[in-house]
Amino acid sequence: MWDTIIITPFINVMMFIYTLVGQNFGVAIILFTILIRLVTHPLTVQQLKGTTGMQELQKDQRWIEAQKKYKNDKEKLAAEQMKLYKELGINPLASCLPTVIQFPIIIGLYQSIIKSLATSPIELLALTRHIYPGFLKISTLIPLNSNFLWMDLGQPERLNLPFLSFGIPVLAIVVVITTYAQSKLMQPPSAPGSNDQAAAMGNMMNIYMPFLMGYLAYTLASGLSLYFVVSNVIGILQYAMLGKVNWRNLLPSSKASKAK
Amino acid sequence: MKNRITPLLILFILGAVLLSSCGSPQYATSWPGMTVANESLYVSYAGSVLSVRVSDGSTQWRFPEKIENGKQFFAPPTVADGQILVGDYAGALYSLDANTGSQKWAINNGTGHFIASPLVINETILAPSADRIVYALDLSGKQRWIYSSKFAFWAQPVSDGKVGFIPSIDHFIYALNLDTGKKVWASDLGGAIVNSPVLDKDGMLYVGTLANDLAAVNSSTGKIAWKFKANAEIWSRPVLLDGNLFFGDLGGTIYCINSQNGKMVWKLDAEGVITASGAAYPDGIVFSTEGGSVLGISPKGEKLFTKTLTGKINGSPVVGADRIIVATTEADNLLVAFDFKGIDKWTLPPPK
Repeated sequence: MWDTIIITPFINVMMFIYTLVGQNFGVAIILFTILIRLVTHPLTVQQLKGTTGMQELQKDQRWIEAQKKYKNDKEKLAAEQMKLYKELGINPLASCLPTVIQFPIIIGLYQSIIKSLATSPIELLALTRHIYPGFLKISTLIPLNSNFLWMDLGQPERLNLPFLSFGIPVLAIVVVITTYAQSKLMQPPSAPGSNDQAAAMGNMMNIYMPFLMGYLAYTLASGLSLYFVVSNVIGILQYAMLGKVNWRNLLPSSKASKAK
Repeated sequence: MKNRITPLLILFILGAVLLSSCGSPQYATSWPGMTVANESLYVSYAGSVLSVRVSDGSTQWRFPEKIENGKQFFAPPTVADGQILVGDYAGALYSLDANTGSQKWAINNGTGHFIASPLVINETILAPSADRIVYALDLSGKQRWIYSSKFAFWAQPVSDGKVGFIPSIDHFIYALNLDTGKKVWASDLGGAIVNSPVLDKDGMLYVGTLANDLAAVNSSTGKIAWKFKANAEIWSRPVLLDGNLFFGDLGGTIYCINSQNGKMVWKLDAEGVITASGAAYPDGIVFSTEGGSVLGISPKGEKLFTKTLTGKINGSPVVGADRIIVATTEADNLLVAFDFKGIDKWTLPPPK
């Protein structure tokens, strides 16, 4: 079911792009990631609207007062919250539903890349079953040209320089930087009266997530690292186009200004 | 607010688990590989290489004695000069004592998988690797030469004693001088080659491709003598018997082809995907399908016996000491042995 609806169509579209761009799998990953992000762009916009609405609620004086007034009465607080949702025109599901829909698409995209980079007989056999016979020809797709710049996209990436005895994991470093930049740029400014615990959790995620992604990029096939980088950059661009990027968050001074 | 953090955290953990569990190339899997020699069966599967007595299925030794992280064996072991040569999926090629399973030497290229079995010819080991290199070694593991290509080598070479014929997934067969490693010729067959060719006494190579072709290639010149178009991709190695070639395709058809002209003699439907090569036995050829069917077929195309095993069969069956042995995956048994009438003799569960 999952394969039929998500993985197989994804692999075929990605392979189709691969044949269109002169059998360059690196370019195919980049273009396919852009395509998926464009298709899911309306969901991103909807998610952003929902998040903005929730942030406005946090700043609303009536909500701040209601929280104080009904701090020991959860039922009344919930009723007040629903009332404010109606008044402010907020759909509480608007921020999480797009995420729920996008999540399997992103996982599907990731799995499609993995499956396309078949590096063992069992993986190649599985790949042959994903290809629509009338649409693409296995004989022209295999072997997949996994060379891109200095990388073999089926292997973890290292840049070997003649004067160094070890390879530099350039892509893993770029993944860490772009993941960190993305999470910092998308972090909304903290509202007065906002929950400290939530802010602490957000900061923790901003630190751990880039290292987790960096570790994955360091150990897994570089085709995935390329996807991580492209996905991060497009994510930043999408938010920038919607005017929701806080460039000041990247500056060290912004932390100090917040503390004041 | 706590209620909003919990789903976020769950999503984060779920995402991390999904991302980290989706197939690292370093831990790729495949199906078991088997070789029979001197009444012993050598099996590579997952973390172990086993030596099993063909007559009763008893385990003689196991390498390594305990499962070690990163060591994954799937290439059929090669037996030569009292040693077992077997490559793993972490780029190491091991030489083991055939009697005890103790390690004699090892080389490690550190990158690609050894998917193909090595070939030993004239005291030279030809070891093709998925790291796009063919390694030529002496019997002590010392490197004689290497040959680099742009794509991976997945199939065992064959040789006439002077030239090694090495198939590649880049659609080519490379003929390399055994002494120097210099390319004699390279022939483009139009589709990836994932299994070995057969070399006949007249110097003709027969090999299947993922472009659905079985091709006959002159081993002296590299010129294609004929091509036979099957219904689907050919993953398996053909069996040459009395001037005919027997092989199956991924569509589930078994073919008998005249090796002289490439004309079809007969075909039959095996009703299942065939990745495994056939194996000759005194009454005919035994084939297996991925769905678990084992078929004994006479050279004229008559079904002699049919068995259905639980699990999948992707690796090729082997024949030795009056036994047909089949390796299964996703089943209670790793090995199932039966006689030439299809009557069960012994089974062996996967090593723990």
